[in-house]
Amino acid sequence: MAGATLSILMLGVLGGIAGASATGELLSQDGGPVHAAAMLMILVGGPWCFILIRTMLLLVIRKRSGPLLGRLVPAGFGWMIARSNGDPDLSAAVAGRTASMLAAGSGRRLAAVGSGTFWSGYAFISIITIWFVTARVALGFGWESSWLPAELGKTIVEITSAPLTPILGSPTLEPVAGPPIAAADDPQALATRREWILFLSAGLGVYLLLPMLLWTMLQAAAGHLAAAHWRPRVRSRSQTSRIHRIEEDIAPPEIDPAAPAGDRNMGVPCDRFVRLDRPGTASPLPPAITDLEDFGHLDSRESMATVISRIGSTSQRIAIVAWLPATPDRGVRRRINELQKATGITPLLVLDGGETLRRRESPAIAATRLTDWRTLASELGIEVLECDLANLTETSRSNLAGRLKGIAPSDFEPSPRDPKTLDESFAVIGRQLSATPSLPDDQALATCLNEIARIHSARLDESSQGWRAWGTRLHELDPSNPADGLKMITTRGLELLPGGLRSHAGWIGIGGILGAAACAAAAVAAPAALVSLPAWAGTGAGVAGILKIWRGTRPASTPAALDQTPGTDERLGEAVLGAATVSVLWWMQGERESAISAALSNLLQLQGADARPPRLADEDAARRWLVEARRTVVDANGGAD
Amino acid sequence: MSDSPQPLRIAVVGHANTGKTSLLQTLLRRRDFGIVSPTGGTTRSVTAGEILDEEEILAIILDTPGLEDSINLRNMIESSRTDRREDPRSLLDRFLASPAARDSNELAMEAASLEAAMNADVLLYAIDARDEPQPRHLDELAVLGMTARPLIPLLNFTARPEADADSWRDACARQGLHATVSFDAIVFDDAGEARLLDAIRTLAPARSDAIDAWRRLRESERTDAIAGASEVAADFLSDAAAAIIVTEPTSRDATDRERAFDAATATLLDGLLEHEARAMHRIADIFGFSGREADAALLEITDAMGGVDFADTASLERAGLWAAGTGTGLVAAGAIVDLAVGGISLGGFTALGAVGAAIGAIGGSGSKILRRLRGQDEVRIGETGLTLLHLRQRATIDAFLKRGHAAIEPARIETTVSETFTTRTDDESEKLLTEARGHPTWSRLSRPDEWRAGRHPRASLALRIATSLARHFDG
Repeated sequence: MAGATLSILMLGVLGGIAGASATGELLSQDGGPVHAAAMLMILVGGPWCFILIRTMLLLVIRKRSGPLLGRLVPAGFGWMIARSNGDPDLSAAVAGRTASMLAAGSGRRLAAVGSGTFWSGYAFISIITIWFVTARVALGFGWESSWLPAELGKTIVEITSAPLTPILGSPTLEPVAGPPIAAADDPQALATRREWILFLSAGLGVYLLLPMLLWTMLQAAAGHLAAAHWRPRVRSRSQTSRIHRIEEDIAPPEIDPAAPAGDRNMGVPCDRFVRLDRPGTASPLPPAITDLEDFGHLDSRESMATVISRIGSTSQRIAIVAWLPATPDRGVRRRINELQKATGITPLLVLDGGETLRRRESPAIAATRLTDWRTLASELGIEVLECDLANLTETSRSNLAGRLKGIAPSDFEPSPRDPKTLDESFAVIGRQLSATPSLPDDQALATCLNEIARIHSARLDESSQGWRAWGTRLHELDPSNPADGLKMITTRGLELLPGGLRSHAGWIGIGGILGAAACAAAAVAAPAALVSLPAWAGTGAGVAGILKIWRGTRPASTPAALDQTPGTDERLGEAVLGAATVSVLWWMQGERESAISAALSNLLQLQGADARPPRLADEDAARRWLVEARRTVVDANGGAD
Repeated sequence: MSDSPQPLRIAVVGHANTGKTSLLQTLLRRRDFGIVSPTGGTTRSVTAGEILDEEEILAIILDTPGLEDSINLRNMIESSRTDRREDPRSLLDRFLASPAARDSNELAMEAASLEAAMNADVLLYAIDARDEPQPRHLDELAVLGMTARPLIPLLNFTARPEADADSWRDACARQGLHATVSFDAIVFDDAGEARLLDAIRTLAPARSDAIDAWRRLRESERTDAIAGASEVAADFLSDAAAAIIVTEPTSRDATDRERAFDAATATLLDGLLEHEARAMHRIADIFGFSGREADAALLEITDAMGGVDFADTASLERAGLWAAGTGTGLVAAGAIVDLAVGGISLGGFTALGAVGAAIGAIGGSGSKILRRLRGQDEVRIGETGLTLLHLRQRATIDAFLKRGHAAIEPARIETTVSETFTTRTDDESEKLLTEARGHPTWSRLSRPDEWRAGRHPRASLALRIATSLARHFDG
């Protein structure tokens, strides 16, 4: 604000200088009389003409006035700075700020105050200059000038002096010569000169100074009032776009399915496969697929022609390895349909890339995409198998192999799980809640998790081989040293964590407990206990390990007020959630990775909107939460009770 | 007949689900344009979005159905070729006149897209940069090439970690398309939009005036939005900085006082949360979003400050003004009386004047003294908390500046306390906020009944803070 005040004062001074120069020039007539009418017209009319032209410009080209001023003025300032300073950044900054200022109402008001101050200074100093000069020099005054006839000059003087009568009285305003024609001390000439001086001063005061002062004060007052009634701007945005539909929706074409719905040839084995839009960067295909004859790709008209020419009529099926993240559009549908027509037998559609899809899309979009593929398969009457070929578990691997061999899915689809072991695990958590109020303590938690692991260990497949080398090393960990274990998991698993999960507080919260659980589990369960966990379970643990270690090593200098260590209710919630998660994970052993994901997602749904572990105030709250968790997980898994 | 030129026509074309409609939503700043769905083939007709400056149409952008079956499309178009040298455009004309291109037929949607493309000045070929270039994309480019329209490959979703823009640039370059532009419809980037407009300008030089006007329009919208959002943020921050909650009068018992302090702290924090959420909604509205589109992490303010502060800026200012003005006058008057009575008073009047000056100086803090005597505390937000709120307001504005109108997931405002130690605020607003301290009547939080916006110093301060905040986003 000081800058603005200074700028306004500067404008006032500049106006004063302009007024003094103009008045001085008009009073200097080389011995001749001052052309009073012309002088008044120039001194008063000039500023008004300027203001009038500016106003008309604003009115006439109103639509463009904002951008015009908004561009010219900032550009001018920017140019001046660039010329004087040579700093393009400063120049751009000044131009930007000026543009912002002009764009705002307060900026325009400030500009009006500046303009008013300039002309007020101009008028005031003009009056002072008249008095100053005429005090030193006896000037002559007349009506006419070189460009103004005497009669017109007289008329102007008469008209302009009429409203000034209350100030001037009834002046004669006759022409008066300067010395030597009229003596400087001639009383008559002196009186006439005084009348002319008063006329000019009053004219400037009434016709210019007073209106300008009034205008300036009004603008300043309006600015003050606007500030006093200031509210943040929440203007409704003017619409800068419009929408219109050019034509009606086109109905999607019908495609005649090659096979009647229901006849899916599920018992027929596959002896060959093709890839459908599967990217070259996808993981290598597993042996179950590469053991089949490779018919190449189905992604261009040439490759389609090649596949169809090779395929001939066969009694065995073809497996189509499609890419789940791709959209199952009409093109995909037509290609599958054409292949089906060529073979005369329904193919097996293997949907690969589930992990990629889940990593890059939200759960809702991933679910929609999967549904779209299933709908397409259903409409074409073909069998579909979602199978993430890069992250096969023992179950999904054998399921894939079985389907390719023509073994009906009903022999593979597990029936809803018996919740017995889950109930036993939750009972352990319940007992710990009653027995040790210090459940949030790591040692108590480890004991609890060990017990849960023992319950499930009987079901573990000891002969399974790990799909993650790092997972097989877990049994080497020292369960008494969870911190080291967490560090190891972090180092090995962090890079595997999908991007989407990195930002999900819920997973990280669970992972913290999983890290501890993994260490505890290593003591009682074989590595196989972790084999069928999706990669992110372990890597989530890694991230959370960092969180946990970080929590344990907060610098002592951290202000206590800012300590983010969770409260007792949050710690109890975190521990119960972790123990329940581990229980669910082990209960889900052998399931497909997508089923485990779904179970954990359901568990997470129980948390608040902030996706943090639940806050459980006491044992009762924890038990209620466990009951709800059990119901959610079991219901989602088929509801066997 | 009007001499004004036809508006620039841009057709957004590409495979299904590459974000064509999303792109239009962001370019038009309209969430209500079209339907965005993970299911392919949602757009089943050509829809136009117009960029308007006042009532003048600067450009028309056409959203087209996806080229879902480009293999079949290319096959059908090229199979009608009878002469190797035949003009590709006549092949397209022949295809468009064929039964396959008619409504409800096999390639009707592709035909609608091609027709829109043929009548456009520039084509934007939308690419989901997370996908790998596939032969079907080459088919699409080959068919679009037959329209003889300038084409800009537009890489969408480039802000996602899975995006592989380089592969696409390489693939497009192999097709002779070198003016590839990255523009994410979800994570908005001014520079990306400017690059896109530059590319369009290069390919449609005759329409450079319209593109320049479009660019200016967006720049002025951005400036206005930043100014408005900064004012809302400054208003909230002024409230937060000035807020003082006075605890209920209690006995001298420490537990009672602690309980009263906790209650006042809770009132303050609840008020802060409520006002912050309101400010967030208003900022969202300014940027053309709804308040539900911002999702702030839990506010971690735990450093409310207590105690009656006699040394806040406002109290010191009041005391200083008194001491420098009336107080000095009182002392001087006392000294004159002492001199007038010839020293008989032994300087008593001067001392009296000094006492008066001192009483006056602390008089402004009378209510504070009274509170102290009653055992009341004043609770206000601590410096760290204020910095956190400041950073969160900045983060909120930043989030909406970088949010495309096609974004679905709420913008996360994740600023945490730890960032207050590591992030420089870079502007003078922090300093300015201290000026609001000690003016509880400037805050809706502490005196909702007494609060009046019509306090010139508060308004002036808020405007200065807003200017300082806005400066952060300039450039």
